[in-house]
Formats: sequence, C-alpha cells, structure tokens
Amino acid sequence: MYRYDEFDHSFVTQRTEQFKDQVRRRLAGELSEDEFKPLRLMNGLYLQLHAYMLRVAIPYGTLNGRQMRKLAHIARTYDRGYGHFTTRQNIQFNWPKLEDTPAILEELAEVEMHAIQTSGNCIRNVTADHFAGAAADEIADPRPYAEILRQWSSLHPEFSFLPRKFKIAITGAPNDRAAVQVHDIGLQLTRNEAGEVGFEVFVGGGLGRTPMIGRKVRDFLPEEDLLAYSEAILRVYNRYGRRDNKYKARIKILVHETGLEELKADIEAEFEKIRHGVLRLPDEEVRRIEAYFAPPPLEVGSDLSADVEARRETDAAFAQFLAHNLNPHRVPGYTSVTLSMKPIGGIPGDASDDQMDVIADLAEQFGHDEIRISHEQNVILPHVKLSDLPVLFDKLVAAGIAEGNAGLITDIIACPGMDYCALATARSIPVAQRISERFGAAERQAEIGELKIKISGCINACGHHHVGHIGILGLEKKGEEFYQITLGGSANENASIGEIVGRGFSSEEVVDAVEKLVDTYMGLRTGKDETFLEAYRRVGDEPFKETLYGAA
Amino acid sequence: MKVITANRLLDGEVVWLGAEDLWVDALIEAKMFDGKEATTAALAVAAQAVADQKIVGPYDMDVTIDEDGIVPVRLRERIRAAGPTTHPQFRKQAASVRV
Amino acid sequence: MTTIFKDGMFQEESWTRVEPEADLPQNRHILVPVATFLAHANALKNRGNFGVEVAPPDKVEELAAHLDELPLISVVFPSFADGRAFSAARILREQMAYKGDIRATGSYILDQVPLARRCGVSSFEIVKPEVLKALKAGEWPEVTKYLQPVGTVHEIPEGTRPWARRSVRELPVAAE
Repeated sequence: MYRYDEFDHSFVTQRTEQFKDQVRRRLAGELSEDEFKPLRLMNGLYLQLHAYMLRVAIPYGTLNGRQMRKLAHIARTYDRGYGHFTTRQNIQFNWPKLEDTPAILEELAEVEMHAIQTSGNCIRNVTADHFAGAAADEIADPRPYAEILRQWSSLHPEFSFLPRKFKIAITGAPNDRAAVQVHDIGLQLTRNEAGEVGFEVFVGGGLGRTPMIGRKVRDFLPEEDLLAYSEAILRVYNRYGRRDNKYKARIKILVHETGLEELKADIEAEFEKIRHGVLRLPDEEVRRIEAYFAPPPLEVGSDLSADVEARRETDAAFAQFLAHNLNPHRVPGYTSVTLSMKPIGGIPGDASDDQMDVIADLAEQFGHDEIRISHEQNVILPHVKLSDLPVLFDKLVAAGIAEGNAGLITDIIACPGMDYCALATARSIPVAQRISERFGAAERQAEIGELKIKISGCINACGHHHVGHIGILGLEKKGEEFYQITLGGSANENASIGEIVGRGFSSEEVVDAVEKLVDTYMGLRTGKDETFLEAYRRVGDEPFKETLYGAA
Repeated sequence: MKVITANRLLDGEVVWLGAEDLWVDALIEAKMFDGKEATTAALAVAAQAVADQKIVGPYDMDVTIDEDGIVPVRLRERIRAAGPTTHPQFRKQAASVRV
Repeated sequence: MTTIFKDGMFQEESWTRVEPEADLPQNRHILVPVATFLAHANALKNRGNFGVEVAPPDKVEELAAHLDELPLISVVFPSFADGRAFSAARILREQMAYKGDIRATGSYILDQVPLARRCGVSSFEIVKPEVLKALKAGEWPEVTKYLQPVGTVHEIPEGTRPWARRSVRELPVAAE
C-alpha cells in the first residue's frame, strides 16, 4: 500500500498544526462558530445530534494493521469504545471532544492518516473496489489511480470551495463493486484495442434528493490524461455549477440542465487547453506509485483441502460463511474474506475497539497486513490463504464478526439516521436491526439469496436507498417516523434508480412490508438463481404493489 | 411550553438552559419558558452564552409535562435528550425522557 | 479608502465601484463591471485609472483582446463559499498569460488568502477586519507542501512526483 515519504509526512503534519491553531483560535474566542464551522468541516469535524463527530479518511478503503490498531486506540481513548464504518469507506467517531481533536489528528498522523476533506464542498475521499488488487476479474488495480487522484485533490487551491461536495469512485473490474455510476465522476478501468490501460469516464451520477445515473463522457481516457481530464471536469463544474440552491448544486444538475453534449464539449475544450501541461502523467511516475500497491508475495496454492471440506459438511455456520463471504482471488489458493460488520440484530458498520484490534491482529497474521473497508460497511481481508480459513473463522466467531451474510438480506447498508444525525428525519439503524432479526435465520437468508437492502434516514440518501434492490427512506409525517419503499435500484455496472412502490409505512409496519415483498419474490422467481433484482426487472412492480396494497 | 437547548462548545454535549442561567446536562433540570416574551429573553441569554464561548447552536424547542417530567414534543428532541436509541449504554442521565 | 495587501505591504487605496449602466465619474480610480468595460473599452483606456471587476458569472475569456491594456482585474468573492474567483484567476494567469495585477475582493476568509495567491491573485482588497489583523500579524495559514502544480507562481518541484511542489519559503511568511 502507499507509504508516506517525507513530503507527505510534512504535508499532513502541517495540516494538523493548522487545524490545531484553528481550534485554539476558536476556544480563545478569536473565531466565531460561523467562521470556525467551514474550517472544522474541511477537517471532517461535524456537530451532530448529541456531540461532535469526527470522520477520518481511509483513502480508497485501504489500511493496515497498525492503522486499524490506531483507530481502536482512538475509539478507546477519545471516544466511547467504538467507531462506525461509512459508505465512503471512512470511519467516523461519534463522541470526540472538540478540545481533543488536535490530539486525535496528531495520533492519526503518526500512522499516515488524517481527516482532510472528509466533509465540505471539496473533492471527498476517492473510493475504489474493496477487492482491488486481489479480485480475479480485475483488469488493473484501481488504487494507484485513486492515490494519484487523492494527492491531486488534497488542499487543491482552486477546488476547495466548489458549489457542493464532489465524489469520485474508481473500479478496476468489469463487475462494478464501487458504484461508479452514482458518483460525480465514475471511472471504470478498461483496455483499448492496443491493450493500453485507460478509463471509461462517467459524470453526473449521484443520489441525494435527485438521484441520477452518471452519463458517459469518454469511452477511453488514456492513463496519462487522468489528472488533466479530471481538472477540466472540475473547472467546468466550479465555474458553471449552480450556487443559488444547495439542492441543485451537484454536478448532476449541471449535466442535466446543460445537456450532455454541450457539457461534454465544455469539458473537452477545457481539457484541450491543459492536456499537454504539467498535469500529464509520466509513465514512470504512474509505475512508481503502482509499485506501492504491488501484491504481496503469494505462493500459488491448492483448492480447499479435505479437512476444510470436511468441516464445511458438518459446520453449518462455517459452510454459510464460505458460501457468501469469499470473493475469488486472482491467485489460486487464496481468497478475499469479508468480515461481516452486520451481526444479526446489530448496528450496520459499527466496530468496537476490541474488534478493531482483533481485525488488526488477523490482518497481520492471515492477511499480509492488508485491510479494506467496503462501501457496504464491511471489512475485508483481501489476501487470505484458503487453508487458513478454518482457524480465521474461529477467531472471527470469537470476535462476533463471522456472520456468513455478505450480500444477503441482512447485509444492510444504513446511515446513522436520527439516532446520531442532525439532519435525519427518521431512524435508520433500528429498522435495519429489526429486518436483520426478522430474516436472521441462516437457512432463510441463504434461500432468499442476493438481496441488497439500503436504508436512509432522510432525503439526502447517505444510506444509498435509491440503489437498494429494496430501498427504504425514513421521513417524518405529522411528527411520526414513516418509511417509503423503493424497488429495483442497483449500483453495479447495470445501475438503476429504484422506483417508489407506493405510499409509505409506519415504523411498526415497515418490516412486515419488507417481508411481504420478499415472500412475493420467493413465490414468483423462476428458480433460486433468479435474484430479487432480476425477478423485479422481469415482472415489474405490479405483483409487489399488489402484495403491499391489494389489487388495484 | 419551551426549553432552550444547545451543544456545549468544548465537548459537544447536549445541554439545556437551567436555573440561574446555567447550562445543565439533564432535561429534567431545564427551565421552562411560557410565552413568546420569556422565550425571546431566554434566547438572548443563550446568545450571550454563545458569545462567551460556552455553547453553540442554541434554539428553543417545544415540551410538555406529564407524570414523568419534561417531555419534548418532537421525536428528534426526545432522542437528543435521551441518547441514541441504539446504544442504551450511552443514555443520558435524564431518565425521565421517554423515546 | 480600503487597505490593499500587495507584495507583503499594506497600502490605502480608494476605488469607486461603478454600477452597470451608470456614468463614469471623473477624477477617481474606478472599478467597472466586465460588461461596462466591453461597451466603453476605448473611452476607459483613454481615461485611465480604472480596473475591471470580474463577477463570479462573468467569463474572463471576454477580456482576452484587452489584457495588455488592463493594469488591474479584480475577482470577486461574494461569500467565502463561492470559489469561482479561484478559477477566474488561474485562467487569466495560466491560459491567457495576463501579466497585470489580479486583486481578490469581497468576503474571502483568511485561510483562502494563500490559496488565492497560488491561483495567481497578486493583491487583496481587505474588507474583513479579522483578515487585516491576521495578515498584519504575519499569519499565513498554509500547508507549504503542494500536491498540485499551478502555472505561474514560483514554486519548487519536489521529489519525483511531477505534481509535487513546495513553497519557495518553507516557513509561513506574510507574503513574498
């Protein structure tokens, strides 16, 4: 993984000092809250419902054991013993004291971490496929490009006061696990006919109040043009994006209102002016950064051994884990393991300090010291030997992160909702917990198969409900929580925005409604290999409407 | 009836305006204000506390009284007063608050 | 009079902003909107003592034919949250090779001053007292390692990364 050199250390240390001074000025009364707010937000510090919240960047979701142990230490020392993994592959701490934040940032800097640009109207943490560098279906590792973009976007002098936040995602595999089509810029690594690596570029995807799928602006952007083209997009957006209404300020609205062709022409015109300038990426520099992400030395191994197979026969939980929580690795004998942060009835994405310590130990012991955070709020050990699975599984069970539910109905994305968030209109986590309990039986989940439920506690859609196969949006109606259901959303390479199925449900009714939808699907699917999403796309929403609201 | 709430600057804790213009940690100790004039005066006290670097983001909120004590009208404020419903171990001492 | 910060020095200057469509006052230093300038370019060039003020929606490209005769272009921050002036300054400097003074005006905050300078802003009209106070105290809140090359400000390339730069002076300084 990427390691800081002296330059990077100095960069982060100076930024920490700068923030420390801003906190000092605030506490001394030299800065008012109005003046301090944009400054603290640029460093990921929010004031939420109960307390401050600090969001720490985990660039493209990659970290090592030492860094994870530091996050555990911060949770234990400065917070209340836990952290929450987010849909931007970051972690947030819910209870830090303002006066402690400079010390927290100093601790983070010791392990090459920071909170730069985890909030504010700037380019946010660049996200990537959580199986990057390991997945069997990968064209190229997206992380070197994500790292180059991270560097270029850090404290950018021109693009730190954009009309609105700006999110970039990149995937190196044709099976998109990074949701690139619902990002402001989505990059899909591809090869041209000459075999050269480049990017398919999507612009203007996003969720929030006005969900949109990104539009393709380039079939093939050569590698060397990555920064110049990104800068061209950002300059067009910074100049022409709407600033009169924050709900219409994302680039998706600019794409929509300007029209794709005209905006593409603007981007290309800007790109022409700068493509031969200083932002052109020299091949040797890309290769140098790439070397940081070189895969660990992995000896080609064999398939599951006889004793692993034997245990699979006799241990249902282990079998379930093998069936769902492994992703094919490009080196035979290895696999990428999803550690489920979705225990049945638990809080999606929460990890205790002790769990984080265990994850750090296991990564060092079994995973070549590599850890990933997925945007689905799970933790991944990308390089695990198949023969280590039984002993790893036992340790995961002991830590409470061994649920074999990755990609299943209880692997729910949920935003913090009204339990934590100052903007929320309803709670998300308790709904996720109740759904998880309702469907928690292992056989039932497995029988239902792949089904992504995503829950947001307000229209800003941090829980990605628009792209859930079943999406749930929590709203407030006459002082009560109520929940609107969407169907058919997807964030993969065939991305789609879910459709509202009908009137919403009370908090008491919503889990029953989900169960009716699932039962309906089970009744109409052509077989176990037709997923909920495929079935929905085949039959449309009529049967689902009928089960929820009766015949029309 | 209204109470005035805010977050404490230093640690971000939810607080309410209590007796003698002190900012208290428990809703049960909050001072109640009846009528527009009393609320406006209380908000002025809060504005001064902002200027004095004690609190941030003060606002008034509706409450009622029942046998359990002061009860915020909105769910959001009930959660704010009691702590996250998902983490009972972090409930505030305001045991009177029901969510 | 307002305080102008330029080349590390503070000076008092008096500029009158001319509203769109208004008559041009005599005997004063005036700042005119882009549209006014384009409509009266020759008269203004003959008159002298003027600058052009670029509002955020304006396209600086429209000034292209006149740059050699424009000693001052100001770029406006209507609020600190509106970052369009950064792009305007960079385009003027890097794409249009403007050599005159680019002045930041409006409601920028202290922490934006070093960013604006990197984008090519060369002087600052200071309306916020706290910004004036801080600059006078020598504050220059900036990370002096840069991860983006910007065209025209003298900075030192660092290491092998072509986009890495450091400030010509590593220590925070009031200005060059």
